[in-house]
Amino acid sequence: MLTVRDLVKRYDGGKVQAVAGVSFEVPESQFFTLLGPSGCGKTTTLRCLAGLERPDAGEIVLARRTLYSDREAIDVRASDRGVGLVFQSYAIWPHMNVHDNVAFPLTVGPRRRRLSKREIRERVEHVLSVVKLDELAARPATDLSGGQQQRLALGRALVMQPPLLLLDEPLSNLDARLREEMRVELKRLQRELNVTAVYVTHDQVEALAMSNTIAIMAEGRIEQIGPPREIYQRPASRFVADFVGGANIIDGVVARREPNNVLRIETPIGPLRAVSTFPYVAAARVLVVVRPEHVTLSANDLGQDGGNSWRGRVLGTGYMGDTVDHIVTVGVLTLRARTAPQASAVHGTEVTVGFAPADCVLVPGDG
Amino acid sequence: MQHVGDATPRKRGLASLRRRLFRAETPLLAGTVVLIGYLTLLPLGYLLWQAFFDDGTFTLDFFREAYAAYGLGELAWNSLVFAFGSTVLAVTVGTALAYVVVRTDVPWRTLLFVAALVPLIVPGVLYTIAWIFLASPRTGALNKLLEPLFGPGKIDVFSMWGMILVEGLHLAPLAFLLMAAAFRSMDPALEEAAVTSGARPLTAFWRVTLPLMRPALSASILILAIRAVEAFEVPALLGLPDGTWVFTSRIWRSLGEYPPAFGQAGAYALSLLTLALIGVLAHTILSRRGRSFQTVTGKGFRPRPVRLGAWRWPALAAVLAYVAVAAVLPLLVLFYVSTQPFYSSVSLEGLSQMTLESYRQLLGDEQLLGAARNSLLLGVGCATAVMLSMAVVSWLLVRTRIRGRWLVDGLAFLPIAIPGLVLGVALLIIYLRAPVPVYGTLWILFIAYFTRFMPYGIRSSSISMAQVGRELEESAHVCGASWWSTFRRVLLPLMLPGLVAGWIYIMLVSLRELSTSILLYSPGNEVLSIVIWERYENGAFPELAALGMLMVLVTGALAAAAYRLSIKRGVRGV
Repeated sequence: MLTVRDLVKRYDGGKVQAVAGVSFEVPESQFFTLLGPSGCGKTTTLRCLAGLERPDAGEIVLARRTLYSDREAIDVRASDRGVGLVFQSYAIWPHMNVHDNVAFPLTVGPRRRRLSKREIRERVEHVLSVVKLDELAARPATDLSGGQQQRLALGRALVMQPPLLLLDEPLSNLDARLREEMRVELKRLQRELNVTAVYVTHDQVEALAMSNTIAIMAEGRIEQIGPPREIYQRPASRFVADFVGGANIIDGVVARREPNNVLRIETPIGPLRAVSTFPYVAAARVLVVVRPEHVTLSANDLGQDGGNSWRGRVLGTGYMGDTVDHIVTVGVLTLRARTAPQASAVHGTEVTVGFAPADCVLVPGDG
Repeated sequence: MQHVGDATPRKRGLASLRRRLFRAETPLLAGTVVLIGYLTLLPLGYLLWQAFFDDGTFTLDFFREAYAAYGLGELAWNSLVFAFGSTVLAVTVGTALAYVVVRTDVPWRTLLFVAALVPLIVPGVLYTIAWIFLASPRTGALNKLLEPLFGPGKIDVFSMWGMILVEGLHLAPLAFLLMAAAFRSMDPALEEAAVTSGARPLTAFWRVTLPLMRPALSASILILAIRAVEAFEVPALLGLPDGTWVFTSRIWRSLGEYPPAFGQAGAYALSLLTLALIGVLAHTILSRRGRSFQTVTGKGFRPRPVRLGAWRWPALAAVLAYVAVAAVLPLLVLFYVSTQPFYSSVSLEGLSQMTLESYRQLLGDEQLLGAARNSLLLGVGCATAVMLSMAVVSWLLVRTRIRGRWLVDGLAFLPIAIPGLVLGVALLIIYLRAPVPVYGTLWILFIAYFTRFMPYGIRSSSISMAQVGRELEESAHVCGASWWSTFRRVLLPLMLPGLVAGWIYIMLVSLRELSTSILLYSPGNEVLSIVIWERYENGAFPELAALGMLMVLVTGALAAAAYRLSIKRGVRGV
């Protein structure tokens, strides 16, 4: 459906590479998310798709129509691309009412393709009812609340029935509760209308909850592409492991292979065991990634845990309601552990820290 | 209950702190309020009295006389046509310029921004004279140039059209600044949303950008219209030879007669004041309503220019053409005239006899050196006095909750609605009769300048004051500093960049000032703009042009300094 190949965008006369060769594909009616910290190039990529930014190289093909190609010297104007875009600031026109905001895209295209007044009214009414604003059609757009403006922006982007819907951090200006509500709503609409969506966010929770596929971006490049589960459970790099879910990352060197795909790894806190099917050789540098929720704490002495257990001290705790976060020092390392409240440890106490070899993910080490 | 027990002594502590502070600051503030009231209300009161009372009895004779000599209808009509025409020209040109320079990818944007502001640094009297050199029917350089094509004297600057053109071009940079600020503060996503909705750039401009600019546009139109109604130089120099009278030129004329017709001048002045007040009132009401449009701005965004594509170079050409007409031509002709031994129209022959004699003569001219000294004294003294006193007043406005603050604010801002000539008339009436020896000295000009430029001072210092966090001041109080030492050692240094920018701006407008000075100066107390005016009347064109060139250099340097400072603060003063 949408194919992006080797997209490059430079700023300041080529000195800064905002997008440094990004490629991905989005199948029809899928929800695709570009996830990354601010300044990673995700918004620039999105703006290149919309035609608001002219790439320096690469190719963008939407439904077999080339929108941009440096080789073929094609650059379809933003106004002719027919994609819907929801802005971070919503960009609701304050001088129009709700109805006119949504009707605008239907009244500015080439004359021969324009709908009749009646058709426009019907389309707008339909879209407004889809985004649940039909009661407010005559209101000035500035009278709407944040969530309503958000839905209005969505309605305006959908009214053209675009083949592709682009969303630029649409939830970042909403408060926490509304954000959760809109997240569900947005996903429901996307599925019901069967529209292909590219979504940009820096919020991993949004990305994990909504997407079919996530691309993690850093410094203008894609670090990893995959379904949410894979991204979370099998991060491909230190950056991904750290950015998504804030994992514990322990540097180590493979010592030897043991039966049942178990590797013995030397780390700054001593040897540990991890399960991996990847054919690491001895002396290979690896990163051991352990999610905080997989780290267990107990008051007992060193237990079994396949040998992955150490004595440590609780440096700090943070009560989160359904869970408790702990900062625990183990030798030279500081680990994060997230437990149920009844399994939590007291600040300042000595505890036994452990995690199962099967919960360790190995990532090739840096350098 | 525990909370109440905690809070009460603290509250009491603050209250007593506040009470102690008030004892120290009250006389200072009271003094400032009395001063401002004296400066703004007294002239207006005297004006009313003078226009309606003759030897203590109420009369409408002055109005009757004033409008018998010259019909009110025609005078008002001329004033309005002139103001309307030059405003339309200035706003159209200024808005188009601002859009191209701020929102598109036209080449050399920074350079164009600066170039578009150049007419702003040329004092009005000089700008008008430069246009006389360019477009007077008999000797104007443009007419000479076009003579072989269209015959002699086709362009006549001494006409309503000429007045509108010159005033409009001179006001355009102001419209440009106002609209550039508005375009800058607009979230570009609003335009981009139109483009991704399928709108071509032109459609997006008409249906989204321009409607969004409506509040800013109507504000600019009103501000410029007020400026045009009270403009003096253009109507006096271009309208008089042609017999096209407006209120300002009429005021000046009725005081130039012997004996001066104070009553008549007062009557004209009141009419003009009424017009200006209507404009200011409309502007205040509009800008209060206009705020509803600003709800979507203010979120972080990187402005991205609109891609003009093939129109980049034509757009550049259009801007350059404007710069050529509005800035380059007038300055060039001034320079040319300044290098001639005697005034003649532009010719090849003239180029061969260029000389710096006029510049040399300036240095030996006693009257001129005196005027330069006066201008400098007035500029520095007035800018310093205004900024210091307005810093105190703005503290009162921004930081305290004293009742009646709005009155002080209104009083200090009121002079913005008083045309320079009207203030001149009022001050003349007061100080000719007052027992204090002010008339005939520089002090009367100082009082006039102080009153006129107070609004600029109050605005720039209020903005800088609002930018200094209240807690910085409070922590100084808590450390035991008195009100005065807090003001002097914490507030003033933090506000300094803003105050300096305001200072330079007042310095700049003092140097340009003509319409008040022309009524209040006396021999020996001339300022530079008066000297230019006199030299023009005496026909000493090369000297005048040389003096003008030097003045433009000085005002240009001042403007550049003010602009740099205001960029640093992220505020653009006008």
